[in-house]
Amino acid sequence: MTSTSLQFSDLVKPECILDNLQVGSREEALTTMARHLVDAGYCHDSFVEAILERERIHPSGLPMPGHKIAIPHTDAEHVQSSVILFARLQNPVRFQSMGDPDEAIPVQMISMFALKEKKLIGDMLETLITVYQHNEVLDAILNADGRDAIFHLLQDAVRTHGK
Amino acid sequence: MAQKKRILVACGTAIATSTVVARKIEEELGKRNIPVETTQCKAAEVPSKVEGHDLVVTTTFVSGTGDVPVIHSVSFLTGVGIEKDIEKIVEYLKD
Repeated sequence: MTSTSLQFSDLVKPECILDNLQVGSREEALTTMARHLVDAGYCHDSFVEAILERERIHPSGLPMPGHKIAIPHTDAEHVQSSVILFARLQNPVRFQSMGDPDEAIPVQMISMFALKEKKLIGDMLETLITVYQHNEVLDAILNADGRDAIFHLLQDAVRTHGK
Repeated sequence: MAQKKRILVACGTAIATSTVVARKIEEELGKRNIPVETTQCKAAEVPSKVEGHDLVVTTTFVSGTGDVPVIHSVSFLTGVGIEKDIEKIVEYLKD
């Protein structure tokens, strides 16, 4: 498969959805997620520190109209094979808001983008951000019954609302 | 036809949220028949790239923009307040 033909459905996999993640801080959430991608062979070791560093300089919390989300990502050089990791946390952790670093927002759902192709990251961000603007989607995901249910909700939402 | 206005769109990576913002700005200003050209860059590159632009739109903190006006906003990502930001952009681009 060539990189240009990669679709959302190729990039989100049930094994890359972490449900009921028990973490106490933004750093712990990001480290656990990034480490998962390294261990699964999607990212180089350097991805973990790159994600943490990027978050410190350019916060990724997004104050959506309803449930808040975070969209951590970093440079493509740390990625081996493109994938999108989604995590639902047991309890929200505080992220700084992208628009205003002085504002902290509670985040219980995180989309981590590990994408190798430049065009793909713009396309996938646009797709998922469009989806996340629909609060009913985030509400359904937050209340979904387990990992497979989250996976199917994401796939359906992208088919319905995605660009 | 008026000369194309030039907007520098910045984010942390130059390829992520700035792509979403640049596409949205082009779409919205296109609807209003305002010709614009967007250039994407990393926040850290703004001081060296800002010259020759009419406006900077950024999703993250930037400095070193000189006399060029800056709009720091995530409305194009959250969907909240897009209209207001487009009005601001239109106002800044007026001759």
